[in-house]
Amino acid sequence: MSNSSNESPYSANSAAVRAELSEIDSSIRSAALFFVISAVSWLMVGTVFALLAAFKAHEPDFASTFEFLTFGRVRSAHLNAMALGWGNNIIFAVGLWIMARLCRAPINHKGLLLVAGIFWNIGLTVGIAGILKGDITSVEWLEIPHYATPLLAISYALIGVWGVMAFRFRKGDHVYVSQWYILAALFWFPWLYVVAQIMIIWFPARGVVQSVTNWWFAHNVLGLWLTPMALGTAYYLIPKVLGRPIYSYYLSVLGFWALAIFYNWAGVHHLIGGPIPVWLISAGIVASVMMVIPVIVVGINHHMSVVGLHKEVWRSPTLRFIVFGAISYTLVSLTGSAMALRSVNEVTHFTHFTVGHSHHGVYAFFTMIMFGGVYYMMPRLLKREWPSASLIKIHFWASALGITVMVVALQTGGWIQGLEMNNAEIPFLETVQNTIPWLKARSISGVMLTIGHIAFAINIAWMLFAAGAVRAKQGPTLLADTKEGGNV
Amino acid sequence: MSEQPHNSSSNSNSREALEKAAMQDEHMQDVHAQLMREKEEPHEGFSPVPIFLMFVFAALCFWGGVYLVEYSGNFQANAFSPHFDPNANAPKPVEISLYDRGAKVFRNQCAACHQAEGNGVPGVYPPLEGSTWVTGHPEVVSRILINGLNGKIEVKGNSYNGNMPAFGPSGLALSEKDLAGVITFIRQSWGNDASEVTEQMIADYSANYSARSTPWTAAELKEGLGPIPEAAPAE
Repeated sequence: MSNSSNESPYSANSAAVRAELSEIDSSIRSAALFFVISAVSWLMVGTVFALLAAFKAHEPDFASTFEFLTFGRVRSAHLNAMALGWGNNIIFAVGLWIMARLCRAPINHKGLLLVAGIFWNIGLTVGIAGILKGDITSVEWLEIPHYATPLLAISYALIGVWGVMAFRFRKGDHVYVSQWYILAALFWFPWLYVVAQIMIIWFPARGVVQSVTNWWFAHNVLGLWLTPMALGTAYYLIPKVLGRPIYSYYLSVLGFWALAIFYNWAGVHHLIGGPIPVWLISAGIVASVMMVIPVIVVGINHHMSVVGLHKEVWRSPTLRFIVFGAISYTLVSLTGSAMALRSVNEVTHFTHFTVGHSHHGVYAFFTMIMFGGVYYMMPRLLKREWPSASLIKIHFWASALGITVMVVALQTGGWIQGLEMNNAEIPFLETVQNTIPWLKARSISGVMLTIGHIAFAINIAWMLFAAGAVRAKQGPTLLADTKEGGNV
Repeated sequence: MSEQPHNSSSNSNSREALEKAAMQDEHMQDVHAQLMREKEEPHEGFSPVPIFLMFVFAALCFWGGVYLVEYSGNFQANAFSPHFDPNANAPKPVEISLYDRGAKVFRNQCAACHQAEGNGVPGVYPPLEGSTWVTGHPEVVSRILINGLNGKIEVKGNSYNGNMPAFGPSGLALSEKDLAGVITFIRQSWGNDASEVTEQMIADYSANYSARSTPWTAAELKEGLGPIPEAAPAE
C-alpha cells in the first residue's frame, strides 16, 4: 500500500472518468445539498420529539399541559419526522447521488428535482403539524392526515423519477449491485405507500384486511425502502473507499433476490395471535426466517470485502459508520427472524423489546450507514473537507454508544416485561413499574444520540458556511493518523 | 496522499499540456483534490458462494416447508389457530342403532326361511315371533346363531325338525356387531319385547363357543346358561 509513483495506487486511472464524476456531482449538487440540509433539520426536529416521548414514558406529567405535546402525538411526530423527514430526505440525497454516479448519467433538469424536494418537505411539514394539531390518523406509520399525503405522494414521484431516469440513460453494460437495490427501492416505496394509503385511508378495506395492509406497509418501509437504500450505499462506499472490489458478484445476486422475494411477506408476523387466517401468519413467519439467507449473504459479502483492512476502516469516517451499520444489519435481522417465531413472539409482543428492535434497525443499521454516506458525499459536492475530525469522533461515539445502550436497555427490559406479562400471578401495574429503570436508561441513550446529532449538525453547518477556511489541499479529514495515502 | 497532480509526462499533446498547466494552479489543485484521490468506481469480484451456505439454505427451505404444512391451517380462510385440525369438523360416519343394523341383517340372511314377518313356514321353519326360544335367555338364542341348531325342537306348540346353519366364526362368520344386531332385532320385533343383546355379550359368547364345531340340540340349549348380563341402559 505504498505509493510507488506520484499517483495513489487506489486512484481511478482515467482522467475522463474523473471528469465525468465531477460533472455528475455538480449536476446534483444543489438538490443533494438541499436534501442533506432538510434531512439534518428533520433529524434535529425528530430528536426533540424523541426526547419528549422518551421522558414522558417515565415522567408522564412532563410537558403534558399542552395538548399538542401529549405522548400519542409527540411519538407519532417523532416517527414521521425520522422516517419521512430524515430517512427519505437523506435517501434522496445519497441514493440519487450514488445512482447518478454509477449510471454515469448527470441529473438533467436539476431545478425540477429541487422544486419537487421543496414540495416534499412542505407536505411533510404540513403533515407533522397536522399530527400535532390532532388530525392524526389511528394507523401506525401512516399517521399523517389525509390532506398532506397526496402532496407527499406526488412530490415523491417527481423525485424518484430522477433515479429511474438516470438508470434509463446509464452508460456501460454492467449494472452494479447498488444500482439494483436503489432502482428496486425507488419502485417499491411508491407501491407500498400508494397501496397502503388507498386501502386504509382513502377507500378503507373492511375488517382485518386493514391491519394486514398496515403491517405489510409498516414492515416493508423498513425492508423494501430503508434497507435496500442503506445496502446500496454500503455496497457503493465500501469498495469505493477501500479501492478493492466487492467480494462476490454471486453473493450480491443471491442477497438481492432473496430480499426481494422474502421480505414482502414478513410484515404479517406483527399480527401473530390476531384474528386473521393462520396461513397468512405462518407464511409471514417462514418468510421472516428465510430472511436469514439474504442477511448472511450480505454479511459475508461485506465482511470479505473489508477483511484485512480494518485500520483503514477505523481511519475513514465514512467506513467507520458504514461498517458499524453493516454489522448492525446482520444482528438486527437475525434478531428479527427470531422474533417472528411464535414461541419468541409470545414474550416480545406488546413489549419494549419491539421498540428496541425497530431502533436497532432504523438507527444502528440504516441511519449509521447514511451518516457514512454523508461523510463521503459532502466533500465531493462542496469540494471542501470536513472541518473537524473531533466532531466526527464525537458524533460516532455518541451515536454508537447511544444506540447500543438503547437497544440493550429496551430489549433486556422488554424481555423481562414480556415474561412478567405472561405470568398471571404478577399484577399488570407491577409489570409497568418494573420497566421504568429501563425506560430511564433509554432516555439517557437518547441524550447521547442528541449529542451526536448536534456534533453532526455543527460540522455540516461549519462546512457549509465557513467556506474559505477549509482547504481541500490539506487532505481528507481522517479519524486516525496515517503515514500512507489518503482515504476517506 | 496524491496531492501531486496527475503527471502524464511521457507524450504531451496540447490538451494534456493544458491540463497539466491547470493542475499546477494551486486553486485548481485545491478544488480537485478529492477528485484526484478518488478511487475507481466499485466493481465486483467473482468469488464462488461458499458451499456450506448452500446446505444452510437448503435446511432453511426444508424447515420452511415443514412449518407451512404443520401450521398453515390447511390454507383455509377460516382457520385462525396454528393448531387448526382440518378434520375436526368433518361429519362422522353415521352410527345406526343395533336394532336397525339387525333389521338389515335379518332381511339378507334370515327372512328367506323365517319370513319377513318372523312367522316362519309351518312345519318347515319355526316362527320367531312369539317364540320363547328367541325371547328367553339371551344366551340361548345367541348359541343358536353362533353354532347353529340340529334336530327336533318344539316352538309354540308345533314341532320342527330342521337344520339351522351357524352364523358364528365356524359358520357364515357374521361380525359380532351384526350378530348382536340381528338378535336384538328378532327379540324386539313383531310384538317380541325382550332385552337388547350387545356386541360385548356376543363377544363373550363367541369366546366361549367358537371352538365348538357341532350345532346345538334343543335339549342342550338350556343347559349351563350363565347369568343374564345387565343390559346397557336405554338411551
